[in-house]
Amino acid sequence: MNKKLKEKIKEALSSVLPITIIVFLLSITIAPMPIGTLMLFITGAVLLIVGMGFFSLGADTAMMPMGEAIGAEVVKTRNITLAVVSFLLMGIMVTIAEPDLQVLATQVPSIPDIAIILTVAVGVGIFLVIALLRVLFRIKLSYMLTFFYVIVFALSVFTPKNFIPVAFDSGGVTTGPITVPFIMALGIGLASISGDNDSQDDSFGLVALCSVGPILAVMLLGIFYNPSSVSYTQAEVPEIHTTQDVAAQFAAGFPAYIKEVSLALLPIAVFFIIFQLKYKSFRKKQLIRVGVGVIYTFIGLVTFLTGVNVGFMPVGQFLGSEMAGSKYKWLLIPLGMIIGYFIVAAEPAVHVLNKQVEEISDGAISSKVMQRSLSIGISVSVAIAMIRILTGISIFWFLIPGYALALILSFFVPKIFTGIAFDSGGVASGPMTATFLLPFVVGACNKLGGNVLTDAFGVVAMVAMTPLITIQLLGLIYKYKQKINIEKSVDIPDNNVSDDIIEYESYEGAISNE
Amino acid sequence: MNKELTKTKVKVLVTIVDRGKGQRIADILSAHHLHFHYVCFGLGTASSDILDYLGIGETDKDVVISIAPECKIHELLNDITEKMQIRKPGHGIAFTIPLSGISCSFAQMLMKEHDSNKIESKTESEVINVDLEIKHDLILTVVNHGHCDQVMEAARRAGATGGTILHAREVGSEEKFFGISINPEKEIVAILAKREVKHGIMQAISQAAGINTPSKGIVLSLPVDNIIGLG
Repeated sequence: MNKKLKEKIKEALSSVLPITIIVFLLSITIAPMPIGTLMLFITGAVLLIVGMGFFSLGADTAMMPMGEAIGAEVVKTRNITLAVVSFLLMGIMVTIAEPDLQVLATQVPSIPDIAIILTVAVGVGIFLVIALLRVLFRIKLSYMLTFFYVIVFALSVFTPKNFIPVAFDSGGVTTGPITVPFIMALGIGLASISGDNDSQDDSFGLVALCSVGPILAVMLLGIFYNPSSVSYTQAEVPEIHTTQDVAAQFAAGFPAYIKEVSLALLPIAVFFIIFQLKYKSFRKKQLIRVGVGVIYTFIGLVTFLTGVNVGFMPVGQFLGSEMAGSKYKWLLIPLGMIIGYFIVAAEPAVHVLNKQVEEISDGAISSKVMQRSLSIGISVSVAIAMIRILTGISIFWFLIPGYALALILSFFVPKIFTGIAFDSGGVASGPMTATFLLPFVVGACNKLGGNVLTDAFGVVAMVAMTPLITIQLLGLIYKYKQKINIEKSVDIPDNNVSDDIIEYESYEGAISNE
Repeated sequence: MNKELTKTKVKVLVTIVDRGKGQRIADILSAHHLHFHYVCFGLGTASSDILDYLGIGETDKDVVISIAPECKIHELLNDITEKMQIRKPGHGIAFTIPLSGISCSFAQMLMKEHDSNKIESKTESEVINVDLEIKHDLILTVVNHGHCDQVMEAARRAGATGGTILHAREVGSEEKFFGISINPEKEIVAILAKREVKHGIMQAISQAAGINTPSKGIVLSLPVDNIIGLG
């Protein structure tokens, strides 16, 4: 069989199967599940595997090359106005089209949807420009991040209390499975044509800064409108009696996600076409490949989103409330950690990030190590979310020390790790978190009678925060090991070494050329 | 001292295998007391247009570049062949390039653990018979980023079977744009070919993607004296 195809199938299976098996095991032990819901879940898992495979292939052949080409082309023109304007527009357009943002908007009924969408989109656009200028003017990412997060925390003092978890969630939510690979590719393209020593370090960090935009935007809206309520529409667990019902559920889901995904892909495609017409950076053969890749991405995302929304959302909520209702409430913490550990592998953008990290670092930071660090991070974040539900501790007790630690670390770890870490915060909090983890926590919270808005929300914020720490810790280990290696490798033989050059003249005779 | 070192030549051993298997090659080399190997990422070219369009043509590769004394080469190649099943098509490729010079200190470090007088004659003769009769060349083409397709197309028409793409950047001609210096991106296409078809392939590449075309390609070839796994 074709090697690449085999690799993609393996990747898709290995990312979706573990979480499927865990949920299945839970359903036959402590959280007995109606057979209909289980059917939904298993069908969803199959769709997820197919979707993941196509998406990952599409990201390789279309999303990344498009982003990289635009990023590189913008710098090559050496026209700062053009660069700023196109980055601003791209940020705004890509965000408006992001399906997750529309969900977020409906959660805050007291503010008009359009106001939220536009503010967040402009927020992302401005921060994308800031990220571009940062690379051009060579400002350290750690300085920028510290500066903006200090502003974020200062503003949070004035923001209504109910609003804070939603604001932090929005940072993770708005950077979805389409925007992340694209924005990441822009950064890689930007860095790729620079020959400076540390250009590699600049490959990452765009998503990191873009995640700050929505947090600030939502907080500002909160202060300005002072909304009285934030609402969360619960996922309904549909009545499933026959296999026909299962099919009907999924059939109803497809058209909605076809529309969503086409809307989200459209602005990127339009931008790419404009760039291609102007700069002709792609040749015919590559264009065909990119075209096929866009179709892959489309098929992949539609299948994935339908699977996760129809199949996983009800199960997440069901599991949460069932486990919270059982005698052993404390089980929520260890089981949540296990779910968290495996769920991040099923997040589509995570593979794109891991692969790029491996590629850019020329194998030095392998995707396996990345995967493990992310898994540990998400595992911790679910534990924190569960502790918060069980105890009702304010999110600030975790947010402030967490971000403080992450920012302090950013001054000590190799620069590339800071970029990767803050990027991965946005990457890890994708559709899987929004449609499985969030309902899971909300379900548990409802059952325990907690305040959904202050206690359950914020899980996305936690998922977006913990990788900042775990990936940077990985960076520290890496730095330490490298130091040891360098000390070890200086092993020059002690007998007096001459600096002469030995010439092998004889070899020329051996080759009869022309 | 110098005389003794010049007796045994040092060669570059290049091994190209699927992504992730580079570590195994490094392990094999280390087992032979060779500690100078460098791994970089490459991209194997597609074997057909259809696969290429479908995005499943190119495969990620590990390119392992190592330095080894000549007396060790045959033993090494045999070991790699055995452990990696490299003779079967699609399992990778290994070849050596002769060097024209080396710093004395490096040669000394390399030879430290190898007794050049003790050459295993048994395995050597076997490999020589198979491999040294057919002469090969490594054709390197440096083109502008994104133009490797033209190179491969031309090369394939002239009889090449496949190639490996490495990413590179041009240095020395950078222009500044604010804080960053801009270096044009390049692609290096490495193609192994038999000596009979080498000239034709180079000619074809030169015409299709040479310095006068938008690809701005330069073509050169290096002699390859041992090879396993081609075709």
